Amino acid sequence: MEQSTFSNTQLSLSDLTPYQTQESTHLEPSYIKANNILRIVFFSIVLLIIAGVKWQPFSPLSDGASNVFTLVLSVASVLSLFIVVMSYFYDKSKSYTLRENDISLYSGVIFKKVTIQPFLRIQHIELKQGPVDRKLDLASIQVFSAGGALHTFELPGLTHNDALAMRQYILDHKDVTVHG
Amino acid sequence: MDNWQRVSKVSIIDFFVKNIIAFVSGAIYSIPVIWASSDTLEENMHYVVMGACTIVALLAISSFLQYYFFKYRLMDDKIEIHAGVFFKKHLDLPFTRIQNVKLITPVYFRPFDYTIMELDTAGSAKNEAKLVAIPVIKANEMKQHILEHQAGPQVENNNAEPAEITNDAVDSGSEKLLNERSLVDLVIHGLTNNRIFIFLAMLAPMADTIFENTDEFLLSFGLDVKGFLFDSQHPWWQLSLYLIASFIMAYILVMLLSILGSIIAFYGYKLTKRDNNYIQRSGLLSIHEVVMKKPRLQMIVRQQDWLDVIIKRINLKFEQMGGIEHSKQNNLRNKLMVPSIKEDECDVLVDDVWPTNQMTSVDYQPISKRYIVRGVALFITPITAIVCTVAVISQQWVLIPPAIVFFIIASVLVWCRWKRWGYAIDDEFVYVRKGMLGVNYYCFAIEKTQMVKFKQSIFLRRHKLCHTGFVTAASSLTIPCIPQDIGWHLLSQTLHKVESLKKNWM
Repeated sequence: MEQSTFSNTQLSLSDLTPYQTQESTHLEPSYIKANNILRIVFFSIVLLIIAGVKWQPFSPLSDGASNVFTLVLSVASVLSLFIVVMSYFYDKSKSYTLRENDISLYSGVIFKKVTIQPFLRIQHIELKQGPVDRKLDLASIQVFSAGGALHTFELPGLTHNDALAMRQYILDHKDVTVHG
Repeated sequence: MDNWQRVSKVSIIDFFVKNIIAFVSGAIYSIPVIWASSDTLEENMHYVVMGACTIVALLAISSFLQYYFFKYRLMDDKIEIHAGVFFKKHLDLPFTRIQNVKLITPVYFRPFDYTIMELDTAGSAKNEAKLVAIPVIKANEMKQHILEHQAGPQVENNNAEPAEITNDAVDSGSEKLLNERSLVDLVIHGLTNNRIFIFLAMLAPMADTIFENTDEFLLSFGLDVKGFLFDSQHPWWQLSLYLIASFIMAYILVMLLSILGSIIAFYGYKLTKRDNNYIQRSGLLSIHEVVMKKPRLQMIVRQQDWLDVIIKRINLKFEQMGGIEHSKQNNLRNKLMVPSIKEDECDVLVDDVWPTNQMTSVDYQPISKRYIVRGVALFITPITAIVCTVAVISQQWVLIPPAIVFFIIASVLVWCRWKRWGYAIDDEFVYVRKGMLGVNYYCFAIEKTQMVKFKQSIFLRRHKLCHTGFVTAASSLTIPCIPQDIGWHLLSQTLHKVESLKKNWM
């Protein structure tokens, strides 16, 4: 009798898909695209302002100051390009998996990171929608555990309906487990 | 129903003291102005005295009003508070929301047998309720009432500990003394741990004045610091001797202040147990009482600095939730910590709290040696290389020996750190050991994990290694550079425990 229960536990354990090999869902392409455009726009504005100061005709800069601005402009453009490219790949690398008892978030290009939050330990959930999100019908979910604000689990780039469904699923599930 | 009560009139003293402190720390910036105009002030001494009297009188009146408008009432399952003179505050606090009940007895309340009761909630610090000037006996009754009220629903959820409940029934009602600290222990604690900050925190409002006057103070001893340092008449060896001597003097001074701080914080330290609650009382000037309910305990930390390792003393910490949010406050005394205990006492306490735990006996697995390579390659070598390059370019050859010494010492320290790292897991607990010269042991119950993390950089992926992180309600722990299979195993085992046992974490 004991033998059979023992093997049963083992089976159920090995039945589980390991976290490292489970399939994951990527973020909405429209979110990645919008995010990318926003970043490009932001950095273009910054670069334009620097360039505007350098070449503005109202009070021409001295040679020294002009050289400094050339340096700043080139460093800023290289940096912006780097950040835009890296952020794009970072957004692309983000994916999530919803399971019966927990949610996993995969992210990172150079530093791969997997965060797994069991539903049982969730304190509350927030659904956030910025102006751009609203336009594109997107939303992000924030999940808070007792681990503190530093360890908030944030999942952006879901469609609004998916986010609502996911929140409901987690809340329902959480309730069952707490009182079950 | 309408049994609103006021706190005792003694509370006026506390409101008055708090008002004075607030006034002084607010007015601290006007000291230079007063200093500069001291001549004028001396001429009009009677006005100054009158002004001071008025301020004191105003503060006293406001203290009385604060007392007059502070009312509270106790219901069966909650406490309500009305407070505020101009800005009214109404607090409605159900007992189940109370995280922690603290009793603080300031030095001026001692003769009256009164105490201040602080009720911590999980929310922000603004929401916490404070009952000033409650008779000690009544405060203890209320505390017991609140804790019992919390214990009710708690026990139902925690049906996994039947042994505990029967044990409680035996010694319920009486407090069992678990540990006491003598003055010698506190002196040792002051020596091995830097507790100077407790002392400095008390002096903070006066800090500026002290620093301003230090120079004059030294001058009065015939020690002209500036003149001495910039006077080239003295030979170099004399100067360096003086420097060494003053360094030692400063060190001794810091040590003395640290001992003082330790005594102020932990004088008369007592850890007792009543039912399922652990109660800590300590303090020289104001006595702080911290209560921890056993299910609220998240993590045990066994902390040893290098000096502690030599003299075999341990700081034992019982961490409750909210360590992260509240860490900004000076909360050393709000934590449950047994300062500088001996190893056997530590084992007794740990066994009392979590009997099945094997913190000291478990086999700690070492982490990968790549940890050393990573530390040396990523941090130490670049710094050394930069310093050496600068030295070669600017032909400052003096810089090279220190750079080499730095390289060697830093590498040895990284090796020490690697040596200390260790981890283990059993059916109930996760154990982590870390440190450099000292050594800290961490232990938490697996089912109290809030969240897990897995991290891997390109460098680690190539060697099939990973960092594994656990987040609990008290703090988070990361085990670096362990084989990725073991990392995943640890994480999935933890998650399996959390999700299948469905135990409450507090």
